[in-house]
Amino acid sequence: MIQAFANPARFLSFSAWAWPFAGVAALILFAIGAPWALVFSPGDYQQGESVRIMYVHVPAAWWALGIYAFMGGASFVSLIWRHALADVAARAAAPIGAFYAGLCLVTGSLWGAPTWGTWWVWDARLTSMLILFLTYLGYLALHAAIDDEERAGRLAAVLCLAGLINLPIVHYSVEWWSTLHQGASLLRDGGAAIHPSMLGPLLTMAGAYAAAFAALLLANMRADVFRRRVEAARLRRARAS
Amino acid sequence: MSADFTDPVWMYVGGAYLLAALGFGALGVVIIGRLTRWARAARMDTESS
Repeated sequence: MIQAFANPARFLSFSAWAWPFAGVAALILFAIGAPWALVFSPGDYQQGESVRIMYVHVPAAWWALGIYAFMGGASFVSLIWRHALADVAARAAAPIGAFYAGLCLVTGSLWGAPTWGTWWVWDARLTSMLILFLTYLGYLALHAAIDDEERAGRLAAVLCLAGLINLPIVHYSVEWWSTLHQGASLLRDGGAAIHPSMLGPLLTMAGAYAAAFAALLLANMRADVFRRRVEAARLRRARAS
Repeated sequence: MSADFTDPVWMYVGGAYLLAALGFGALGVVIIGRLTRWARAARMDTESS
């Protein structure tokens, strides 16, 4: 399976149709999910209209964690099997994950202002999410700082694997420490504690974020595969002349 | 329709959705622009060699 997808030529022919397909799926899911979340879903009995921020905030948080886990898997494959495409995948996912983590922080702040009366508190959930965002930026900065692409990939993969320790901290922070941030509503013992009228738009928006990630990841990976080919060809020509 | 647009909290709700839309749009433009540039360079490379 890994071998099949690790072939750049096979990846290019698969991703040629897969990235626009995922992009169209994302647009359709956003076109359904956004009006459902903004207009047709009910307000909350305590939070009122501000609960609608949940539909852009929570999927961003889920996928910021999910993308980092994906990068961890790709980094592991890159380090152990030295597949160049695994490093390409981790590198291509990083700016999207950084955007999702940043969006989670900003929309969380916009939600916190009317509900908590503050834009920011240094509680465990918010702080660990900020650390995740900074880890994404550190990964991107490390990759960009080293000219030797293979060495950059190896060091960034080690940093990515070390950063995996933060994922359970983000997830369980609301249980391990006393936080202003509420506990889990969906992924918790005893089942989901959210009404179906809110669960529908939430899962639709989460699907839209996932499809958008798939489309942007595949497009960014294709760009990187083309870039490496062009640069390798230029290097060969320079050596030959 | 369930939304109450007279609530002043819509300033925050609208801001969150606007930022999300602008962010996705900007990221999409940057990544698709990068893909277009390198795909063209690879095609020109193949044609010239």
